[in-house]
Amino acid sequence: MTKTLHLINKAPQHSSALDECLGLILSDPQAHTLMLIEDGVYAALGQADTNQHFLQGLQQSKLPAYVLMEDLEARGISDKVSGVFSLVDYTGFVDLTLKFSKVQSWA
Amino acid sequence: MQSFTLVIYASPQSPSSMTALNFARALLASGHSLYRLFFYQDGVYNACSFQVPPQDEIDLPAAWQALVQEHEIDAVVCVASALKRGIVDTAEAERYELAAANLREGFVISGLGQLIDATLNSDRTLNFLP
Repeated sequence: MTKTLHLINKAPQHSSALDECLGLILSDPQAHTLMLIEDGVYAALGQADTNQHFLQGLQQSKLPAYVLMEDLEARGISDKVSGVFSLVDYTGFVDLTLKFSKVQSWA
Repeated sequence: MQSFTLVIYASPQSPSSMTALNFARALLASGHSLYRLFFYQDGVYNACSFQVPPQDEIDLPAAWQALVQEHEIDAVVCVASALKRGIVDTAEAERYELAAANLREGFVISGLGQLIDATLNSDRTLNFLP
C-alpha cells in the first residue's frame, strides 16, 4: 500500500492547504500521515478556537500527526501544542520521510 | 543509507529555503546522501552571488554554497527560471551579451530533465514550496 506523508507549511488562517489536505486524507488514516512545518505549526495550537474543529477530526480519525519542534520553538509555542501531535526534530523529520513511499507538499 | 533529492522553490527570503537547508544538513548528518539539489522558480535566487544580505541576517545563498562545496553536491539551477530572473553563468552571460555572470561557484545551470532524472534515481524527492 502506498503511504504518504503530507507536509503543510502555512497557517490555517492564511491558506486552505490544511483543509484541502484533510479532506483527502481523514477518510483513509491508514494510508496517510500529517506533518506541520514552518507557519503550519500554528494549526497545532491546542487552545486556539479556530483549531478545535480540525483537532477533533484528527483525534477521531486517529491519523498520525507530527509537528516540527524547531519551528514551534522559533515561534515560542512549544508548550501550547495539542496532545494529538508528536514532536519531531529535523533528524526525526528525515526519518519520517523514509517511512513513507511518498512525500506530498501542500501550499 | 538512502538518497534524497530536494527541490527548492522559494527565495532565500522565504522560511522554506531555510527549512530545506536544515533538512539537507540533518539528512547528511544521519548518514544519508543528497542525489541532487534542484533550484526551481524563485529558488534560483539561492544560487545568486550578487545578493548582499544585512549583517544581522543569515546569508542563505552563502550557507547553501558552503554545504554544496563541502559535500560536493550536484546543485542544479533551472535554466528557464534563472534566465528570466537575471541569474547567469559565464556561458549564458556571453550568449546574451550581459555585463557580468552571477551564478555562485558550485552550482550548475541545467534543465528540467535533471529534475526528472533525480526523481527517478533518488529514494525520496521532497518539494520545499514557498
